[in-house]
Amino acid sequence: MGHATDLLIRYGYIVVFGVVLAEQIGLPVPSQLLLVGAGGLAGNGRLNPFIVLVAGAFASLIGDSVWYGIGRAGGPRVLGWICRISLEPDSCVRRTHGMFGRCGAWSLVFAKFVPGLSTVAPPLAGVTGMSLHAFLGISTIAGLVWAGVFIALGWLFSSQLEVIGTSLEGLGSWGLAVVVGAIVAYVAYKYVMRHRFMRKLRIARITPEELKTMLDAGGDVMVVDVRDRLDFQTEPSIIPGALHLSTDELEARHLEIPRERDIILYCT
Amino acid sequence: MALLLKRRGIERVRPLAGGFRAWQDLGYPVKSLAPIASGG
Repeated sequence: MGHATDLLIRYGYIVVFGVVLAEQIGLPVPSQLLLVGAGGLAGNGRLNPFIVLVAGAFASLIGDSVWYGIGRAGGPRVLGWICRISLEPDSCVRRTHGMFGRCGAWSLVFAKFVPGLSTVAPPLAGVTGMSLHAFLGISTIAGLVWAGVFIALGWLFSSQLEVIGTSLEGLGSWGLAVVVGAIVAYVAYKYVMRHRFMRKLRIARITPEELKTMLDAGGDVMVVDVRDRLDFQTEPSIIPGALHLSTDELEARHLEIPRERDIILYCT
Repeated sequence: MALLLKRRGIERVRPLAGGFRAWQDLGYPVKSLAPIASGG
């Protein structure tokens, strides 16, 4: 039996709890893979699936509660900060906000399965003033569903996972190095892409004064209001001449945006 | 959103610094789209 598997069997519940908590707090560790692995070991009778489930769900609840508290105390500013450090800037606050507008508190369950959104949803619940009672209830369900799905996958494919595990163990430390290297390379790639995109956007940013001057001079620009439904309903006004287009409507209406003109986007 | 537009071929995109709030804070004009309540 390999060292990693041996370690997971001996300290499985603590490892699951620690890794899930680390990921929920925001560290780029693949806790889903660990849950699948733990589910596989549970399927082979080496771990108790219910204790794995409770460890994963409880760690998830603690992590989410910390973010909820931060969101509640820090307000909207916290979301901007999370988005800056997120590895998924394109799927950050806007999509989460949109999801809250459509699904309400149950977004906490769906968001668990979407990279980027899972970190933003709990503080957004705090920012939007969701009660602690409701948050704890739904977040517990979200943690159980999320951890349960990955554990169940591992359970279902436990024999196949055993074969993969044996193959990796056969490769020895090289096999482990390849897996760790692939994870590090993925995180590094996401970070570089995010950094490039954010830098490009920072360079292209236009100030309100510049936009006002351009509009007054009849400049060839199109202004697009991309606030989501929730924000727009709260404040149903736009910059004169702007086209309102939320993320949900993008697929159906993107042809309304001309390709040959400069497009100025604004959100809340 | 800028990235989503870029994927659909809309590349000349510039975000407004500070968003709608910054525009309002400077006292620049806005157009209300609120439905007008009908009088009795």
